[in-house]
Amino acid sequence: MTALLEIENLRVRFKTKSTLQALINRDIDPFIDAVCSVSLTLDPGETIALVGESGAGKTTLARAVIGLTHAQEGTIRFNGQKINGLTDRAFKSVRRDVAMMFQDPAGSLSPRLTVGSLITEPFRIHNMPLADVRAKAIELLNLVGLPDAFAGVYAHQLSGGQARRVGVARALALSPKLIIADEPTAGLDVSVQGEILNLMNRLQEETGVSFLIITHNLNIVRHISQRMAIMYLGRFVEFGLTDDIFANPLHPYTLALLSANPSPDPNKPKEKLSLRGEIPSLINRPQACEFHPRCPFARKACSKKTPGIVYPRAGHSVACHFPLINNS
Amino acid sequence: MQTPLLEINGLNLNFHTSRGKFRALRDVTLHVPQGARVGVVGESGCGKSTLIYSLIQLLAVNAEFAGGTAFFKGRDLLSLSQEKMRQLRGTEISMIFQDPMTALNPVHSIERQMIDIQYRETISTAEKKQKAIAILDKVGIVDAAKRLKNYPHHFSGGMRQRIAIAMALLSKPALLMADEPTTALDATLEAQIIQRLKELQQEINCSILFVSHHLGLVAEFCDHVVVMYAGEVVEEGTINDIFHGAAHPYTQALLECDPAGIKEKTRFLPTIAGDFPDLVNPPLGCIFQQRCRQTMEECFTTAPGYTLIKESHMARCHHCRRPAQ
Repeated sequence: MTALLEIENLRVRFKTKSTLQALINRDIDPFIDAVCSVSLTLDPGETIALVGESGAGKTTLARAVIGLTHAQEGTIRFNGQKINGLTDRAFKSVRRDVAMMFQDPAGSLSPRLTVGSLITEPFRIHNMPLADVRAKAIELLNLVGLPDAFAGVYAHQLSGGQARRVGVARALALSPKLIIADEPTAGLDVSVQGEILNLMNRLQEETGVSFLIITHNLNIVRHISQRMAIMYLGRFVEFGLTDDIFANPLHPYTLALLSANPSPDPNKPKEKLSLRGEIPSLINRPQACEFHPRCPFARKACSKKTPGIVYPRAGHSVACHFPLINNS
Repeated sequence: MQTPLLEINGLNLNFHTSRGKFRALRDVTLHVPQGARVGVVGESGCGKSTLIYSLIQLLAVNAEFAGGTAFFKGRDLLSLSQEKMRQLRGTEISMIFQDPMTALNPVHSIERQMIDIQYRETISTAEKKQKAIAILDKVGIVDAAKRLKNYPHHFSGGMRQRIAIAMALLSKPALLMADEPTTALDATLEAQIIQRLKELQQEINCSILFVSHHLGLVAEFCDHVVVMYAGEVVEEGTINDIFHGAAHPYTQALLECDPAGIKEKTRFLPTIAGDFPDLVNPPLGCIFQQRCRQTMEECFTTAPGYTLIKESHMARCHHCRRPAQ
C-alpha cells in the first residue's frame, strides 16, 4: 500500500528580523525553526494525531501540508506527487483532495453567506458545476446530522457545535482523501465533543478518508487516532502507535504530558511527574537535548549531546538518550 | 456544625430580554464551608459564571434578582449597596478571571498595578512593594524583585495567570472565586498552577469557589462539587459522592461523556442527546426532562425538590426519592 501523505525532513522557518536589522545586529541566522526535521507517513483511512502544547509547531506543520506556509527544506508528497514548492495555481488541484477544518469554526465561516452556499462554495472555487446546488447542500447537511432548514441560516445563528458540523460538511464537500482538523473539539462541551468525534469516525468508516488531527486534548487522542506524534519545540520527540504510547511512553515529556492530564477519579493515586519551568522560546533554544532543562531525569549527557531518533521498539521512535523503557 | 462561610439560599436571577424574562438562575442553593474548595461544574450556558458574577454584583444592567439570599459572614451579598460591595471586593472576596491575557492592564508595569490594588492599606509604598515581591515569590515568579518593573506583555500566559493569582491573594481574602482559571493554559502548566493554588489556599486558609467545565480538574482540586444544569443546581456532594455515586441522570451522563473516564479504547463516544431547554419559557416539571433517559410521568408535571441522599449528598431528581435506587 502506498502512503497517502509522506513528509520527509520538513523544516519551516520564520524570519525574525529584517535583512537590514540582521546585518546591523550581526545576526547571521535571523530565523526561528517552527518545524524542524519532521518526517511522517499517513496511510489511506488512517488517523494520526499531533499532540503538543501551544507553540510546539503543530498548526505550522498542518499549514505547510496544505500549502498555506512555505516550507524551506524537506519534501511533502501527496499520493506520490511532491506538493511543496508548487505554484498557487498548481496547488489548487491538491486542495481538492486535502481539506482543512480550521481551529475557530465560527471565525472560518463567512458571516455574509448562508450555510447552504458556504458548504457548496468549494464546488464554485474548483469550477465544478452542480446540477442541483440545493440538493447537494442538503445531502452534505444530512451527512453531518443537521436538518435541511440549516441551508438557509447564517453563521451567527449557529451554536459552537453546529458551526463545527458545518466546518465538517464543508471539508467533506469535494470528497477529499485527507482532512486536516486543527483542534476539532476545542471549546466544546464534553457531550458535543463526543458527537463531533463520532461523526468524524463514522465518516472515516464510510468514505475511507484519512485524518491528521491536531489537538492538545490527550483524552480524545486515545479514542480517535491509530498513531500519534508528540511535538516539542517543532520536533517530534516521540512517534508511534497510540496504544503503545499510552501504555508505555518512552520520552519523559510524553510521560509528563500524560500524568498532567487530570483524571476524573478522585481516588486514583496521584503520581504526578511535574516539569520545571515553561516551554523555552524558539528564539533561544536550549543546547543539546532541548528538553533537558525541564527534564526530571536529565543526566550529564543530556546537556552535552543532541539525541538522535532511536527505535527502541518497532514503529515507535523517540528522540531521547535514555528512553523510559522499563517504567511499566 | 460550623456556619458556612458562604450560604446561598434560593437564589433567582433573571435577565430582561426582548423575548421576555430569561431565567438564568433558578432556586440555586449552595454552601461553601470554611476552608473548603467547592467546584461548580456544568456545560456552557448552565449559569456557572453568572452565579459567581452575581455574588460580587458584576452583572449586566438587564439583570435582576428575583428572590433568594447569599449570606457571607453574616451579610447578604445580594442586597449590599454598591459602596459596601466595593469594600468587600478585593479584600474579603477576590476573583481570578478566565483569561490571564486580558486581566492585567497592558499600559502599566506589574509593580504599579500591584501597588495600586493595595490602595486601602495605610502602609508605605516601599512596604507595599515588599508585599508584592513576597507574594510573587510564593506563586513561583523567579527573581520577582526585578520582574516587577516588567509589563504584562513581557510575561507568558502561565506567568500572567500566576500574577493574577498573586494579586487575588494579596489581601488574604476569606473567599477566592476562580472562573476557569486554567482553561487558557497548557496541560503541564495547568498541573503546576493548580498545585500552587492548593498550597497557597492551605497557607492562608481561605475558601475557594472554583468554576470549571473540566471534570478531571475538579476531581483533583476540589473537595465538594456542585453540578449545574440550565440554571439549576441538580446535584451537590463531596467528590466521592459525585464521582463514585452520582445520583442525578445528568451527572451520570456528564461523567459518561468524559473521554478521560473511558478506560477501554472506543471509536464511539457517548453523548447526551437532545437540546438545552429554552430558559425564557422553562418547561414544566424537571429541567432535564428533554434529555433524560429515565423520565416518568411525574418528571413532566412537577419540578423535583432537593432530596437528601446522605448528609453530604443531595440531588434534584424524582428518582432519588425512591428507596433502593
